[in-house]
Amino acid sequence: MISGEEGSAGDPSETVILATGGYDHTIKLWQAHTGNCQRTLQNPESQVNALEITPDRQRIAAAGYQHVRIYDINGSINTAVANCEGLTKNVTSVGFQEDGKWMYTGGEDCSARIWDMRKGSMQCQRIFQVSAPVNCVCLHPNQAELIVGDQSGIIHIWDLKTDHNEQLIPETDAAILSMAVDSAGTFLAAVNNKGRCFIWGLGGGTNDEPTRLNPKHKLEAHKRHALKCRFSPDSQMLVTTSADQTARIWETDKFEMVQELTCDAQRWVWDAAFSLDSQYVVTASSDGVARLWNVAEGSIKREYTGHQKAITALALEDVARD
Amino acid sequence: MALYDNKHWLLSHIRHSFIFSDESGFSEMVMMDEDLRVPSMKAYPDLDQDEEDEDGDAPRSLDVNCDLDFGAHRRRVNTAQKLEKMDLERKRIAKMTSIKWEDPLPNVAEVPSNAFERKVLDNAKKDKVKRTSTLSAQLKDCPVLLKNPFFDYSKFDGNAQVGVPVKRYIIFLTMLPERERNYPLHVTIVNTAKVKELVGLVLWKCSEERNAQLEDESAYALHIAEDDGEVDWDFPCLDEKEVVSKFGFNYLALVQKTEVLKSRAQTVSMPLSSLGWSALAERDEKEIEGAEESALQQQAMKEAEMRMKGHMTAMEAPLYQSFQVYILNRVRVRSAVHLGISGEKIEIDPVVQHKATSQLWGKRKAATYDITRIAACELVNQRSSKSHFRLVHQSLTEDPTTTFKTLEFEAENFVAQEIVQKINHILELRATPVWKEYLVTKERKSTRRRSFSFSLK
Repeated sequence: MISGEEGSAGDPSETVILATGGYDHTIKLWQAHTGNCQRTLQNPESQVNALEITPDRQRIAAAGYQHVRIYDINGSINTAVANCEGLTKNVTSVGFQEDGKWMYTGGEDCSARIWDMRKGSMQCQRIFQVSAPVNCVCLHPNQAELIVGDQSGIIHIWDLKTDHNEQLIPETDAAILSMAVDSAGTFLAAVNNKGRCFIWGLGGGTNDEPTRLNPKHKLEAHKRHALKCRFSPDSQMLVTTSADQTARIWETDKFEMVQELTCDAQRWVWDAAFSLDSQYVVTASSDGVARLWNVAEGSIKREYTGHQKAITALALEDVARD
Repeated sequence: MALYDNKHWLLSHIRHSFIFSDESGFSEMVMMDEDLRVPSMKAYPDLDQDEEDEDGDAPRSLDVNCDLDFGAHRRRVNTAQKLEKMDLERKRIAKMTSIKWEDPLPNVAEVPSNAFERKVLDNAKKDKVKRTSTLSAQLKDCPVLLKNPFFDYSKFDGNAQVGVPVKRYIIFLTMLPERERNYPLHVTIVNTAKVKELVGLVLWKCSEERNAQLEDESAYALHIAEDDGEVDWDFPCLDEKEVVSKFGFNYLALVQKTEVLKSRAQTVSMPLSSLGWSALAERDEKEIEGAEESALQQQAMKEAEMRMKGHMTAMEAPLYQSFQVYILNRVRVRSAVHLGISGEKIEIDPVVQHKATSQLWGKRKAATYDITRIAACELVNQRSSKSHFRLVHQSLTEDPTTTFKTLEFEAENFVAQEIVQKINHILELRATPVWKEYLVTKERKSTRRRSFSFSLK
């Protein structure tokens, strides 16, 4: 370790950000390596359905009932600095374009939306209506296609530039609960309420060519609802979380399970995130505790205790080291 | 009040008022007969449209108040609070930008935009770069911290919460060394926590802030305390299963449970729930013995404290207190009675028993002895758990020469001790002629004490 490291710990762009939110209407910011809670932000009158840190690492967006609230991570105000409103139901997912130009949300009002984040600009305001509540939205790393999963089990691939969209149904009568595309844009994973996980290889998606999906794997990932899936930054692993009180790690070569993250106290696992080197995973659970696991050992390294109720969302923003 | 024009409102109001204010119940009966039950609010859809004020949920009767707005006084307070809240909210919102959703322009696809340009993904790059992580490095540099055993309770800390109702306590830590005891711990806890969790939180804070050596949370209990830190032993400890918000005390003391038992046995008070206490008392006895053997020094230190407590006991002696004991009759049959002792008199009330045998043998009438007639109270003998004690009183005969009668009792050891102590304190305090006379008689006959005690019977 470089001795000057401690000094730069105060620099926001060099600080690891770990945030959790849940049913107690708060968002907590943690010092990830010690497990200390640093700040508690208020998210009044709503649980936190999803958390996302802005690409500039300055702010965090919390999707809740009828709102997306945006908080200053490094400021001193414990309430939102911006409030996105005009929505009628739960907002289930939120994310940002990599330059922070726009934000995307998906919600139970059966729509996915693109919010222009530039002041006074309406240039890239978009809405995409589907016929069922939207449970999850993820952005293709090419930053131009939004993948929307809904309650009726349909996956929509929405081309933002052309407004064209394609649909596919991996399994009938099963709600899509979470989807993820790896950073290299090679895989799409989707999990549903029957605990199944579908993997597609992604083709096309460059220039004006639409993305094609080639079915690759179908995993019986969990016995109960699968709630979230995430690829590791190196695309070598996939984590799925579930109502069966476990999170499972799958390697992305043959998609076989390599680790199961579970302990007696853990309840439903709602969310998970990898560290930048893919060695650690942080999970959020209904027992009100977030846990940091060593993936190789499957052991708990840190616990983040402080939430009064279930934790349903987390966001981790690790920092690369030279 | 334009609402009075509304016939539905009037109808509803009349019905409510009749039902609520007609004590004879006659009008209600009439309405019942006509099958005009109290209508539900939803029966009048146009009402809701009329309601533009915030009292939309208010009942349609002047006599039916929402519990929040009960009485004129409360109503104003609520208004003030509401205004304050709205004001705060306004201030908060002023700092917050509001982004309203606006639907996009209809011909969205035709609007030229560079916002959705496709980024070319460089897949070759990903293999070259092995990502490194600050989090990983920090975890390695920060070896597994020694976990505070009370860490799990830290989540109840009210200081770490926002928008959650909390309670604040000042807690005296009686198990700490003498010099640290004077600094109580300020604890904020969420309202929903249980007493047990408050104990845990106090221990967590205590170990974090004071580096104290502590036993696990089951060894401690919270007692009500005075603002100077003195533990109020007259009350049992707070039930650890109860929610903290139930208790309104600001000052509490964290006490090691063994201390509680000692203080109970050595000082006074506590209405006894006969069962269970004997076991506790026995354990307590052993613990005291153990303590005496192992730490005589500590005992010496406590002596001064004890003397102080002795004074307290004497002062509290005339206060009424009831004990559950057994009275022994001439043939040594035990029957349960309540022995009520105060500075004025001693009352004996038989406990109602349902067993036939006890009714046959131990039938007792309630009796009251004025304290001026009590001559003495002494322990006769002590067995492993029960003690036998005797109350000497002056008989009520007109005989000029005083004769003494005795009543024999049996009780748990420390109850007996407590009673004897209490009565003797009262007697000393009152210094009644009977008591003096008895002492004189006793002294005179001390040489023939045996025969004396026989002659009493």
